[in-house]
Amino acid sequence: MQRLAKPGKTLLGSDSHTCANGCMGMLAIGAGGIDVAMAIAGEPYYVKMPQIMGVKLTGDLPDWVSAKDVILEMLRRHDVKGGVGKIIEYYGPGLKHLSAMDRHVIANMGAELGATATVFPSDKVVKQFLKQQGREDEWTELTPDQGATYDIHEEIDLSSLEPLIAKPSSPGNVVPVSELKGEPIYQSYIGSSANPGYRDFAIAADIVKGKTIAEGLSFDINPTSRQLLTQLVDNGHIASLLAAGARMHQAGCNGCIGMGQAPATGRNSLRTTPRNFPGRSGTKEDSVFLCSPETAAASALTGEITDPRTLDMKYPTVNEPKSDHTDGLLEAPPKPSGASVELEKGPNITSIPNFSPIENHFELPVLLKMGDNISTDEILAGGSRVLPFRSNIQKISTFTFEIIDEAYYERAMKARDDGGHMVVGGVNYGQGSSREHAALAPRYLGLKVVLVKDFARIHLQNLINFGILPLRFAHTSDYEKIDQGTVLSFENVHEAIQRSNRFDVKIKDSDETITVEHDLTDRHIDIVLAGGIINWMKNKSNLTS
Amino acid sequence: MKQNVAQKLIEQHLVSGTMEPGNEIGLSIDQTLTQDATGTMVMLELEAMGLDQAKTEVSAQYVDHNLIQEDFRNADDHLFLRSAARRFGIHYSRLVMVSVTRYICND
Repeated sequence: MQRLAKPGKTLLGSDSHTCANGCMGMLAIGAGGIDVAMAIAGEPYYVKMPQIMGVKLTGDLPDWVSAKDVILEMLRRHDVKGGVGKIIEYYGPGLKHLSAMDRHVIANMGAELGATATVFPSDKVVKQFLKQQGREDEWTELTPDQGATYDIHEEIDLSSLEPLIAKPSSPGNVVPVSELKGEPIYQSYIGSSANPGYRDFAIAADIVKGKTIAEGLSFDINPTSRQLLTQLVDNGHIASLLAAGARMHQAGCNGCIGMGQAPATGRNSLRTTPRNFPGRSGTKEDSVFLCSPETAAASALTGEITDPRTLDMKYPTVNEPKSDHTDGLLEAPPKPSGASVELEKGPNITSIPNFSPIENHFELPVLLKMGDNISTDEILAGGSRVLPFRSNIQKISTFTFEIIDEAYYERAMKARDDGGHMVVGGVNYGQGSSREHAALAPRYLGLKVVLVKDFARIHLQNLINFGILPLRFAHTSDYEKIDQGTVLSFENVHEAIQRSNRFDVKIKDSDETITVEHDLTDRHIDIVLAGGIINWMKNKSNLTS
Repeated sequence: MKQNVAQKLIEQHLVSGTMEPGNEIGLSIDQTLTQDATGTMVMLELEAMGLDQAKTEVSAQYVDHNLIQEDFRNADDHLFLRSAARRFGIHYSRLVMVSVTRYICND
């Protein structure tokens, strides 16, 4: 069997909670799909060098307070943007009291702080975890040098913490559980990547063991993996949960990403999950609170938000299983190569079309003129109507810009064979979700240039990656000179964008020109001129083979 | 210079740029993970690039997001992901688990 997470390694994942693996002394970063594809193809990952925030942990957690309360304390202090542009590194004497899985809980929700990554050292605790997995030989020590410093300093005395809870509808909306005491709940939900460990389920099972949950309550158990589920069965915890009135669900992300277990209208749901953004649970006007398994289990017994310290019982001690099941759930690829393996594509999976490189001279009609703060949801909607076509570019492109202008798709398809088109927008163009389809779908429809007052960061990168030239008005007043239907003439574009970050574009059938600008790096220019990163990678492979 | 853990990890993987906050840096990537909601597009991108074989030390594809099979689409995606994982030399996790956790939990 292959062995995966290893101290000292880098990991890039197309899941925003990839950062959880920082608990193993790894640099683990969540990224867009194309970035991960490039990494699989052997290319580096480019990111702005973050500041390093050092969080010194001292003391030990009191009874009824666990790792979730540590990360909720970070969110209480720094909110959902406090980690942007930063790596959060935990160190100090308090670390020895946090297991690898406790550290996973904390590193996982570094995503909610907006951090680039969260890093823990690889110490004896990590060594013990790998030993439990039968992988002790893969442990290497990775600790900060004596006297190492940090760009930003923070400190948490673990012994001073109390049970915390994030109120609707932001993970940063954190208060002590005791402040919400007595608030009635409809659902208590255990599971997800934010509380995935054996102890997180076992402690909930021990809290409700021999008791019955409150009447009318939905107590939902979502095991992390089949492996974990097997261990919980072996040690009687599933029986304790079921006897108390719990509902068992299959292993997986499930309700955390809105796949089932949507709460009833207007009723409170307590969850051990990482996010409670509005509507994420699948219920539009939802009311989701984020808390520890201790708080969720205590509240399941009483039917109202309950500080677990007020339960009339001793804090249960969870004994971790001595060894982990290694039951062959990961399928290794064929050796030495799977080149002959046919890709199995159902009717809803289509290959990405070839896109040609951008020409040197071209004329483009403006098919859409938009205002400020256009989001990627407006460029290409999400939701259950559109998302099922994520692997079908031709089909998903029919939804492009439909929220703004339902006729756009037809106009774009007409202009496609005559050389394509461009769109114009205001400030903060492309804010919101990082979805790549918001660039890929209009590209398929012939979008070649986006000219706006300024761009949101991730969408700008996605436009570059799919070979769409992102330009800004050098003088924002020029925005007024362009209407839907205006045609712009681009001359000597290849030379122009390499020579300077500003050049002029003519408005056809008039004497007017407008000045456009960009801040593309040399690497970005190569990618755009190649027609996108896929072509750029293909060209590179051809050169080296 | 005395280094913290993050600086050590970055320095050991730095392929371009300098380690001053705000500068663009290039990092070599040892391992990747993809899950089923995002993985289909990644695999289609690898197909479009004409990739023969994953160049990472290890890559893993998980199936844990789109588990509801109310029609053929998610099930078809999972078969596609398995075939792509085999084609490109990527480990494939059978219908299970929350990807980030599986990653550290399992071998």
